Amino acid sequence: MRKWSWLAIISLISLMVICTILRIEQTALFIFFAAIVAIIPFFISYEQKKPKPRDLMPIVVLSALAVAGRILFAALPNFKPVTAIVIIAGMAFGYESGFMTGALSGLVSNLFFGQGPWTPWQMLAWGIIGFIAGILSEKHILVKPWSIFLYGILASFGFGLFMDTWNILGFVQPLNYKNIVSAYLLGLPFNISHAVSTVIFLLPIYKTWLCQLKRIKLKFNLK
Amino acid sequence: MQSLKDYHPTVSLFYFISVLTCSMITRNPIWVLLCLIFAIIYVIQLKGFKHFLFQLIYFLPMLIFIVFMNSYFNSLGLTVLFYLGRGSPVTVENLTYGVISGLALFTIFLWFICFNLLLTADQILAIMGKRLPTIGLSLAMIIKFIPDTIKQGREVLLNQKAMLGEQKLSGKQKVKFAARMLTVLLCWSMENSLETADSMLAKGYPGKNRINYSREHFNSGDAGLISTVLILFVVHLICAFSGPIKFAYYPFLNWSGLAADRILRIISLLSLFLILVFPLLLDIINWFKWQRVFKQEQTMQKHINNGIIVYE
Amino acid sequence: MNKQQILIEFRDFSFEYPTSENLPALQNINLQIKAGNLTVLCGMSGSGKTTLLRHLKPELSPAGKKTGDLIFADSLREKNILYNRQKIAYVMQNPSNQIIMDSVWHELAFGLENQGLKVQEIERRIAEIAIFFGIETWIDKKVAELSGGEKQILNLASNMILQPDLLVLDEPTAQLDPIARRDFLQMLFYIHSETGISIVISEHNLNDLLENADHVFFLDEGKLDFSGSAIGLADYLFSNDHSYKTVLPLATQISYLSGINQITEKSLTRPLSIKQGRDLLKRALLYQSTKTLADDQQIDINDKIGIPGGEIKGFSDEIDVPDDAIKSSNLKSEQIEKILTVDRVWYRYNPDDDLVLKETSLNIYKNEIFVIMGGNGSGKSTLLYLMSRALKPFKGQIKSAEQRRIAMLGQNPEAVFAQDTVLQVLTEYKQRFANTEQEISDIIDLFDLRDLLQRHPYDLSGGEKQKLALAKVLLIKPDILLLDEPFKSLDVINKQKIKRILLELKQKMSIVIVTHDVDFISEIADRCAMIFNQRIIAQSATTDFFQKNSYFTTTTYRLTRDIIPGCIVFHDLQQKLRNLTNGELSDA
Repeated sequence: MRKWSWLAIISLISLMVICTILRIEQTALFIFFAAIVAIIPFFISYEQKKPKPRDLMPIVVLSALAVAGRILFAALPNFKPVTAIVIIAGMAFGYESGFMTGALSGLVSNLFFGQGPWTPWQMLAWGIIGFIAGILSEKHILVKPWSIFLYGILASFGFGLFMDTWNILGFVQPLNYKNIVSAYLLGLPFNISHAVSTVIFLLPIYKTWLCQLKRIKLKFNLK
Repeated sequence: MQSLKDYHPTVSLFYFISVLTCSMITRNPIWVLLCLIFAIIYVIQLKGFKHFLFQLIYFLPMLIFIVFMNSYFNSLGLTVLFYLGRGSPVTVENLTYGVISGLALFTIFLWFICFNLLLTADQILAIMGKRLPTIGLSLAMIIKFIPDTIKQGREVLLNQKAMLGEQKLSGKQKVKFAARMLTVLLCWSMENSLETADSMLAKGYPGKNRINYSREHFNSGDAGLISTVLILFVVHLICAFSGPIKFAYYPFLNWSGLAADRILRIISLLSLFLILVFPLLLDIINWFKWQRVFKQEQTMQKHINNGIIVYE
Repeated sequence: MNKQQILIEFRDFSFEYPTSENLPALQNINLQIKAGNLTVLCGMSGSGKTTLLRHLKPELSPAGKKTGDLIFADSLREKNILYNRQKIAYVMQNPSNQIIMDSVWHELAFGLENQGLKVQEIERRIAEIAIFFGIETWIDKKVAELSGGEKQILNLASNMILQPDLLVLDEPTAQLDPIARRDFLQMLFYIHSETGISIVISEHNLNDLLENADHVFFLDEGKLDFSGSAIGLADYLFSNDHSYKTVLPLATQISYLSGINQITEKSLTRPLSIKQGRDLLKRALLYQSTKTLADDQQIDINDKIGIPGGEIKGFSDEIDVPDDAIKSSNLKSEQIEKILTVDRVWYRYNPDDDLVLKETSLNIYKNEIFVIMGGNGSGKSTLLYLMSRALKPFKGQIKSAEQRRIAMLGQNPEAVFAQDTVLQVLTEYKQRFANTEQEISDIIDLFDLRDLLQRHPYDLSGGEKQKLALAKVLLIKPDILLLDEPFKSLDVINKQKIKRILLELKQKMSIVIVTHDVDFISEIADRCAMIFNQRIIAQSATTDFFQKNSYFTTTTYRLTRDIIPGCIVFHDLQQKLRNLTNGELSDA
C-alpha cells in the first residue's frame, strides 16, 4: 500500500514536470485528471481493508470536526483548521487514516462550499499532509512541539504551492523561474494566513488532542 | 428549467466530464470561445444573469493574474504592442494567449457552477458509493456528524463560559480556554461516535452481501443520453485532433488547422456544438412538451362544466 | 399464557466485567423473555439493566466473564448467519448518536443495505414503514432537521424496517421531553398492538408504561429481584418497603396510602393510570362519606381536608380552586432582596433569525428556588445562558447586584469535563475560587464520588456525570446557581438526594432551574414561571401556579384536582388523607 501511494505521488509530480518541460497544451487537463487518479490507490486500499465500525469512527469524527471548523471560520479568507486537524489525525492514527481524513475533509467541505477544479487538488494536498504526518510520527520525527509546529507551517505553505500549481502549470506558458516565483509570491498572503491559522489551531490542541486520542484508541480497541 | 436533473446523475457526470475535457484540451481561440459562450448561456439559464455578472466580477482578478503572468514575463511574439515598465514587451501574441488562457479557466469555473447546481450532495454520494461503498458511507456519516459537531461546539462554548459567569480573560487564558473547549468537543464527539458504531453493529453492518442502495434509477433513456454524449465526444476528439484544432500563438497567431480537411473541421465543430448545446436542447424540448400539455389542459378547461368534463 | 413461546432464556446466568473489582454485574439471573409480550425491565441505575439488555443482542454484548446459560430460541437464529441480525433490533438512549446516515431515507435503508436486499424490496419496505409510522413527509429531510423526539421515532422506524421478532429498547425516552416521550411510547404501544412483536424495554420513568406491560422484571444490584405483573411488582415493593417504590406511578402509590387502603369497600384493584387512580379516590371518598353518614357523625369532610368554608365537590367535575388557602404559602417577594433582574430582554441568535425571547422580564430573589418551564425550543435554555452572561441580550438589560457570582450548568454535563480524571475535574478551579482541601473532600462525599476519583469522567454513567458536574459547579461557590435540566439522567434515589442538597443550598444562594420534570420540581420550587411564545407567560408561587393549570401541572394535582382540592405534591395528598381518616381509621 505504502509503495503504491509513493508511486502515485511521484508519478503525479513527474507528469507535472514533463508537461511543463514539453510545453504541452493539455497540461491543465492531464494533471487535473492525474490528481484524481492519484487519490484512487489510497481509496481502494481503504476499501479493501473493510474497516469495522469502530475503525471508521476516528476518520469520520475528525473529518467532521475539520469541516465544521472550516464552516465556522469561512468568513476569514484561508483561515482554516483543516490542516491542523489532519496533521493530528495522521500522527494519532497513522498515515492511512491521515490521508483519508485529509481527503474526505477536502471532498466534504467542497460539498458545502461548492466543487471546483480545486477539489481533487485539495483532497490530494490534505491527504498527503496527513499521510506524511503519519509517516514522520511513525519514524519519531514529529515528537517535539517545535517539530510539529514547523511541520504545520511547511505543510500549510506546501498546500498553497500545490494548489497554485494547477493554475500556473495549466494556464501560463511558457514557464520560467520569473513567473513561477512571482506567481507564488502573489499567493503568499493567502499562504501566510493559512500557516498562521494552522499554528493557531495546533497551539491549543496538539498536546491535549494527541493525549486524548491515545486514550480513545485504547477505549475503541484500535491497534 | 433544469432538465438534466430529471435524469440519472451519471448523465450529468458524463456530460460535465466531456465539456470540461473539451474546455481544457485546447487553446484554439475558436474552441475556447465556443465553450465559453455556451458555459455562459447555461449559467444564465440555470442561475440568472445577475449571478453570472457576480461570478465575472469575482473572477476578474484571476483573469488579470493569468494575462499578466503570460505577457509580462516572456518576450515571445513578433507584434510588439507596448512595454510595461522594465518587463518584456507585450505582444499581440502573448496578450492573446493570456486572455484565451484566462477565459479557458473561467469556462471551467462556470461549468463547475452548473455542476454544483445539477448534482446534489446526495447524488455525488450515490455515484461514489456505487464503486467505493465504504468511502460513500464515510462521507454520508461525516455529513451527518457536521451539524451535530457545530451544535455541540456551540454548546461547549456556551457552557464553558456560563459555568464561570462573566469574566475577562488574558491572552494566555484565552489559549487555555480554547484548548479546553476544543478538547471537550473532541472527546465528546468521539464518545458519541462509539454509540453510532454500536448502532451500526446492531443493524448488521457490514453484512456479507452489503449493497449500496441509491434512490436514483438508471434506465435505458439515461443510457441513450450517455452514449449520445460519449459518441459525440469521441467523434469530436478524433476529428479535431486529426488537424483542424491546431493553432499556434508564437511567433505569430496562426490557425494552422485551417489547412486541414474542411469536412473534418465542420464535423469537429458541429460535434462540439452539439455536446455544448445538449442540456439546453433538453430544456427546449421539455419546454415545448410542457407548452403542448398546457394548451391541451386549457382546451380541457373549456369543457369543464361545474366540475364535470363534458365533450360536445 | 404458559404456552407462549420462549424467545430468550437466562439460566443461572452471571456476568462480570473484566475491569471491575466489585461484584459481578449480573448474578444468577433466571428469566424468560416470552414471545408477544411487552416486557418492562426496571431497576435503579447501576442495577445492570443495560448489561442485561446488551446480552439480548449478541453483536453488542459486552466482553467479560460469563457463566450459566443464555439460550436463544431457534426462530431468532438465522441459518448460516453467525449473528441473529435481522431478528433482534436494539434502540438506545441518545436519539442522535444512534443515527448513522445523513438523511432520513438513507438511514431507513442502512439496515436493509447490510442485508443485501434487492432495490425493489428496499423501496417497498421504506414506503411501507414510512406510511405505517406516518413519516412520509420526512423522507427527504436531513436528520439534522429533526427534533430529538422525531429522531427517536426515526430510530424506532429504522429498526422496525428490519422486521425483527424482538425489539429491545434501552431507556429510549430518557433524553426526551414529556411530550416527545408520550408520542414515542404511543408509537411503541401502537406497534406492539398492531404487529404483536415482542418488546423488552428498560425505563427509569414507569408512568404510562406499566399499564401496558405484560410482564415486569425488577433488577436490584445485578440480581433479579422480582418477576411478574406490574401490580405484583407494586405489591412486592410496598410489602418489602423497597426504596424503589417511589418510582411507581403516583396513581399506584395512592392505593397503598394508609387512608385509601382501609376506606375502599371491597378488594381493590391497584390503579396504574391517572384515570384509574381518580376512580379509586372518588370511590374512597364516597365510601368515607357514606360511612360517616351511616355512623351519624355529621362530620364535615371539608373541615377534615382543611378547606375553610368550602364545600366538597368531590363528585362533580367542576374545578374548585380556593385562592385564599394557597396564598398563605406564597413567598412574600416584595420584602425579599432582589438578586438578579432581567429587564425587558430581547434576544435572537443571528440578525436574520426569529426572536427567541421578546421583552422578557423577571426577578430572582435571594434564597429562592425559581423554576422555568416551557416547551421544547421555547427559549428556556437561552434565558438561562443570558442570565449567566454567556450570551448578551441585543435589547434590554440583565442586572445583578455587585459581586454576585453566577455559575451555570447546562443540559449536558459532558460539556464541562476537560480533564482526565474525576479528581482533576473537581480541582481545576482550586486556586481561582480558593477551595480548601476540606471543601473539596466534603463535596466529594456529598455526591458519593469518592470511589470514582481516578476514573475518566466520560466512563461514568449518566447519573454520575450529572453529579460530578453539579459538584464542580458548586465548588465555584456561586451566589446564583443556574441549572438546565439537572435531573434528566438521575434515578429516584439520586433525585431525592439532589433535592435535599438543593434545599440546603437555598440557604446560601438563589437557584434557577429549567426543567420538564413537573412532579419533582413542584416539591422544591418557591416560584414557577412558564415561557411560551418568546415571553414569560405565568409567574407565580408554586402552589398557585400548578393549581391554575389543569393540564400542565403535577400528576398529584391531576389525580386529585376536583376530588381532594389543594394537593400539589404527593405529600399534600398524604397529609389530607391522614386528616380525613384520622383517629379510628389511620395507622390501623
